[in-house]
Amino acid sequence: MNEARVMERYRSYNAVLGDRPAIIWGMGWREFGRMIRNRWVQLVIALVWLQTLLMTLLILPFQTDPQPIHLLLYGDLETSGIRIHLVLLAAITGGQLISRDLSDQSIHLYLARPLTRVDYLLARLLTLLLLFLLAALLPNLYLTLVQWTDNGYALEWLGDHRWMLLATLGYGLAVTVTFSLLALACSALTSRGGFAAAGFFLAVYFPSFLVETGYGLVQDERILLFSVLHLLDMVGHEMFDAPQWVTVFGFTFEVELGWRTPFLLLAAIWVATASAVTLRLQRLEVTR
Amino acid sequence: MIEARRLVKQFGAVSALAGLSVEVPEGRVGLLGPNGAGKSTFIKLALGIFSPTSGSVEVLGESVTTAGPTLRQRIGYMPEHDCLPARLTGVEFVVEMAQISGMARQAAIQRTHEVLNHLRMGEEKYRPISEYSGGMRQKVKLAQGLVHGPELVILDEPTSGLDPQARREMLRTIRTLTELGHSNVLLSTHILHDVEQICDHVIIVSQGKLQMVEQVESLLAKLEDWIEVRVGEPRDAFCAELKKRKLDWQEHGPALRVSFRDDETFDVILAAAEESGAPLLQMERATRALEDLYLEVVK
Repeated sequence: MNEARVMERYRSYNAVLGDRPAIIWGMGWREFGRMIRNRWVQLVIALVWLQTLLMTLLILPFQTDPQPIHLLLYGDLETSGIRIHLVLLAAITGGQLISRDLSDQSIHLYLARPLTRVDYLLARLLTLLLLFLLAALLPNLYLTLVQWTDNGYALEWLGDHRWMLLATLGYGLAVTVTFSLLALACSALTSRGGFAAAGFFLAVYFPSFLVETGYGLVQDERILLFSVLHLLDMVGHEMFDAPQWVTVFGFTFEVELGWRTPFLLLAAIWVATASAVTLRLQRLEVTR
Repeated sequence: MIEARRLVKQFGAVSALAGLSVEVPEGRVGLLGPNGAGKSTFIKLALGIFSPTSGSVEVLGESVTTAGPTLRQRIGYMPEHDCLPARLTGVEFVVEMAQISGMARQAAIQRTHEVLNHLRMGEEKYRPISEYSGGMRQKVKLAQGLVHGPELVILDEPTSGLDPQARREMLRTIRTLTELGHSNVLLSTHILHDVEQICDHVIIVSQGKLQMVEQVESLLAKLEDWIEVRVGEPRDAFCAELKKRKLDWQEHGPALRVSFRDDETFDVILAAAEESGAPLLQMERATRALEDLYLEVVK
């Protein structure tokens, strides 16, 4: 193409631009594509899948009731769950997502595009949702599938256990959104990814340690509501319509806190963390 | 292009804009003002990144408040500070920004290469941004602002930190690309020379208020060029001789400022002094540059 034609092409250029939902989706998807190429992310996801496979082979054959298996999978180290991997995944991915944009200041360019602060947060959240989909939700759906095949591929079994599919999706979403928002909030607080990841790890496990110690001392189950991990346990059991079991220093206890308080507290955590990120971004623009 | 009405922006007790009303005309417009004048705040308000405390802004005929962020699809923004992700290559970054503006992937890739080629970036566009020089980083920042074919390009100190040759090249590129793409330009700068080189209009703001909107051409025409003359008595007779010879003059303290027409003006003044009998004590040519005018306006 000669120079005159190149100039003419440039002169007559008229961009066809998509709408905001498409932009947010695209931004989240492309970042997911970059994240998935990270070797550490691949390693954690591989570990999760391996653990799921081992559970299917070792635990599932002796399980009579289908519902606890999913909760076991999402459970903590003591119950040979994969939660530690999910926290790790959120730390190494979510921890750096916003802090990296703060560190190189590219956040100012993103916010000068057709995106609001909430759009930007949604795009970053979407990246994490896609990662968790791969790391947590798909293994759980695989578990459902395995239980179905163990029951002779009977379509009635699927019909009878529709609640399990919904609960698996719902609980997967609850864990994903909670960890993602917490990780993004930590990420928005500092421009150093390492600090953000460490902060997220502490935000998840330190309150858990504190409330378990507190529960041991005062024996008041309401104290467990102050830990995200225990809150997720309660919400999970409610979703699967199972008694609320929580783990305290490796021992399991049944608690009776109803469904309303844990659900409302979890929703409050979501709103608070999302607001913290958007407020932080707003402050950032003012001080620039 | 941009219309601001009684725009006020407070940050706590600090008033960044204090009732700024301005109509930024179409074309290439320079936004001049000292540090803290409110230039960046005005740009952020025009981009809709934050809302005014009171007053309103319209950009490209749409209210920033009601049009929302989609208005920014029609605007390109090149910030002053370094804001490029070191982990990406120049091409990857500009493609990403094009897609965040709403372009489809294939179109974004094609347009990115066109813009970077116009900016004379060769194979280096495939290198990570962390390896770029200051000039190359500025080019990438400009490219991301132009890639989606915006109707308005806002450039914040685009020549900041560049050596004279890179500065000249950057100014030429901005002029060429914005002329080619028929984009309006709002150039925020401290450097008067950049405004002279690129802009058709100049806006001067100071202390959050508008001080002047003027065509650069008429502003340059207004710049005075005079000969400062001191004479003894009879001074009135000397002035009358100047008038007879069709020379304009102004009292300036003990001296007279006689308009400079051409080199022959000196001979005309000498002849007027001789004719009037007033002794010529001093005759010196002086000019008032754009910088003097800017400083006067800002004061």
